[in-house]
Amino acid sequence: MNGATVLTRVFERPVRAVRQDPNVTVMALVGVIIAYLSLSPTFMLFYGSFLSKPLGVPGEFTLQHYVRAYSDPVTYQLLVNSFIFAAGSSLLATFLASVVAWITVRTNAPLRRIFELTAVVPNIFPPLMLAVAWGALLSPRTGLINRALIQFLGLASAPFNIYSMAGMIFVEGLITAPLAFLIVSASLHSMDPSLEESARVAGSSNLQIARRITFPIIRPALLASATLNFVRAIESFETPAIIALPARIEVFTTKIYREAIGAFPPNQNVAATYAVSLLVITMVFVYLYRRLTSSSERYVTVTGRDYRPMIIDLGKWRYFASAIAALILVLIVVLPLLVLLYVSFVTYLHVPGEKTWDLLTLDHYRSNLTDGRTYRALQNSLFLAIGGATLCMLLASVTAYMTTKTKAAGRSLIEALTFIPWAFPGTALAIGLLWTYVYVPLPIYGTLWILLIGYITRFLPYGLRTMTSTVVQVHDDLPAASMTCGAGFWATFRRILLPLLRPGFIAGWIILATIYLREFSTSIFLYSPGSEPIGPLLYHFYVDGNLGPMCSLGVIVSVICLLLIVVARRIGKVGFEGR
Amino acid sequence: MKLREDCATLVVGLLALVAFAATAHAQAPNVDAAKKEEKIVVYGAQVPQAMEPMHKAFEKKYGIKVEYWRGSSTQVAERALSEFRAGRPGYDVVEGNRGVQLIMKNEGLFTKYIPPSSEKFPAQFKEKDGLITAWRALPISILYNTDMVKPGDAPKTLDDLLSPKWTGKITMPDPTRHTTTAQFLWNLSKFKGDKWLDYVKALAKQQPILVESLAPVTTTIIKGEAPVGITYIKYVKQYKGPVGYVLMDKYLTDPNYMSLSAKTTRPNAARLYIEYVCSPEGQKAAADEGEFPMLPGIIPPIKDAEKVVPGLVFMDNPSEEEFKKLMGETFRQIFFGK
Repeated sequence: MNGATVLTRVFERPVRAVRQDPNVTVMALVGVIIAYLSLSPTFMLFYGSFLSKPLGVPGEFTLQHYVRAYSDPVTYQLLVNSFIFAAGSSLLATFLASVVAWITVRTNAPLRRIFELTAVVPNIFPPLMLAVAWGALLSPRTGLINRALIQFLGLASAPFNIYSMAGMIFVEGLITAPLAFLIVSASLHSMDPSLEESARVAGSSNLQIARRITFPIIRPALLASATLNFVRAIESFETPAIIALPARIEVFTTKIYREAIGAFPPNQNVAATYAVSLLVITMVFVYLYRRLTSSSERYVTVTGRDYRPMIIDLGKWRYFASAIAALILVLIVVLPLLVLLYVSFVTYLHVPGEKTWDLLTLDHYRSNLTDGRTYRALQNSLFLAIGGATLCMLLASVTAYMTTKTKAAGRSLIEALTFIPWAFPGTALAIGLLWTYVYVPLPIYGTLWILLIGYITRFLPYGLRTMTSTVVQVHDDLPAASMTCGAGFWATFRRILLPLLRPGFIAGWIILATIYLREFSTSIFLYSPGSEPIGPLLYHFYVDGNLGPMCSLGVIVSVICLLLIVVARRIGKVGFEGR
Repeated sequence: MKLREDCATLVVGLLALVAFAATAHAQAPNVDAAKKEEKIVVYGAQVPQAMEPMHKAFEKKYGIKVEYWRGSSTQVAERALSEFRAGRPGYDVVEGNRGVQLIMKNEGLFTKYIPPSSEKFPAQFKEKDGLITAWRALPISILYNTDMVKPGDAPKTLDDLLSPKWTGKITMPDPTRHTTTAQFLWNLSKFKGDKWLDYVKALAKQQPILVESLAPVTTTIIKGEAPVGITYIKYVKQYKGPVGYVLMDKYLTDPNYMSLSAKTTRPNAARLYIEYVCSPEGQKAAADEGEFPMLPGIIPPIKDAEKVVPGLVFMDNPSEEEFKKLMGETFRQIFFGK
């Protein structure tokens, strides 16, 4: 048997399968793209961690980076710090979110719809800005809240210090609370009220119902929220980048940054080693999350059932409930927004007083709107947001359709592959991509394309989630009718499915575009000076101490985010809360 | 006729040779060729707001666009080295302090270029190999918040910072992440001999607020987060706010350099840019933004700046190995050890 015969035999089956079912071609294409996106950085991250020479220099296999990393007691301190930080902030986020969700969904507290802003507004702030805003509010000597408390209560020293583990947990908890709110409120919305009603008929008090019925029912959602936020916090680089250094606390992400960029000389091999450890940790927790939600997926997706949850009459306590929810809204939305606006309009950050009137200025806006670097960063980020979100949603749509509506082989393999981007921390993915594109002979390293690939890979699961829940609702008859009339896969996809999927497509697109516009933790490692997006530019403003330009750019980006959402909703004619 | 042409060629040739010998390998840039290259990319450690007026003037004069990316000296070196090793350098010119410029030079990142205007710079800053060109000096002193500290109460010397009065009230860059600060502390041996490390340990005991690089030291002072800090004098001019500096006898000073990429695709524009930066026009534009330029006689518009110039003490440069040891071990233990 010669080589040609062997090859023919090997390819015979797949070729025949493609002829019989064109879905197999599409499935194979989707499979190859997703496999490439998720496996190449994973493989190269491991490769880099075992290589003796730095990025771009041929080296040999070595275990020395692992030996160095794990013989260093600092690593174990990192592990402890990262776990305390992630666990603390995820518990705080879930707690705050549950309180607001319960008040808005299940009670008759006045103004409760307004508190849902807690979940929506932070999606337009660059996440770095929240940490900076809280730095301005709670730094020990100059924090505006600290100064106000010292002045009005006559305290001897500042009561709060943001530059501490508690400060980091507090800020990260506030940043991740909106996600927790979405999960918990969806669960509260979709729960069957008949159980509670039965308990009430049986004579249970409100508290008993809450403890015995409501809590057990939403427990999976609470656990899911806590687990997901744990993963988000352990991979978060925004908050640690601003708060951990002055606090002299090191977590995994700051260590990766220090080794890859911040140290001299940088050591991308050791950075890869730490990134591998971080990836393993996040994979374990994402696996746990998926186990937890596999039976309770219905809590976060549209189920088609339309329950009207029972509204609890809080009596005179309803004002108290509103006050609590308002306080949380102030912490998550109002205060950071006010600080951003304040800093963006004064010459330099100071405690507001008489001299503030003399220091009011539009200079920071003027400098941003006329500066070539800012202009180019805005251009880059808009390109990444619009192009990236569109490409990512197209890929997600095809993938979601293939995995839910067809019986093509390899569906489970694709689902397994999307597990990796789910778990990939932004910092680890970036290091993996750096190692990949230094070796891949395509002009991608140091260009916008490496960022585009990074963004699509990392946030593909977000697109998949929206599209899967939309595709499930499309009745099988429509594409089947199209196919029967002789339309191929692409014609059916373009003319039947895409219009039907538009609401889901646009909702996912909005989520992705707003994330891409503000992305920081992957970009900071991957950008080059010519391809600098907004996230790294904001960070550079911060490290140079240019808080005014930073905050004014933050405000500008928030406005652009808002415009993107409005325009996309016009195009899609759907509500943001439609999902 | 032919003879006359030949003679003319010979005379022109001889004149060119004389001119070449007289400028000692300095090479005037080709302006026309530079203009055709349209733009250059500069990676530098100078804050963008201080570079902007000079870049605008250059762009106006020659129609060549300057794309400037700023990082700390450390970040600039890291990025330039990574891109060079990966075979994809995105820069034409690299600006930065001597320590990291020497490391990049040794890795082969630069090619020789001596701008004619640099001939008038002090002899000690002329590099024999012509691979790096000094263009500004950066004296380091103590800066303080003038709203919080009266000039009389400000520390007079670096030793004054060790007083209990300043515990927890000093800001400086993290010497495990910032090369110039590591170099500064190491060079304190010029003033303190073998006892320099004792000073560093005592300074660490003052629990300074550590920031990323020398620039944010200034804003930490302006905000009042720390009333005093160690950083460049020039920031008094480059940042708006209540900030002054301490006049001392001597200042550890770092010269910064401009170097031409060995793999530049815009060699003429890059040479023209370096020449412009060293020309009296470029040096004056830099001084106007608070820089202490290399061309003698040009002083920045900072109060008592002329008194600073005689006190400049230029720092020595640790080797790459010494940097590694200082930043990765010595200072890590002193500033982050239990």
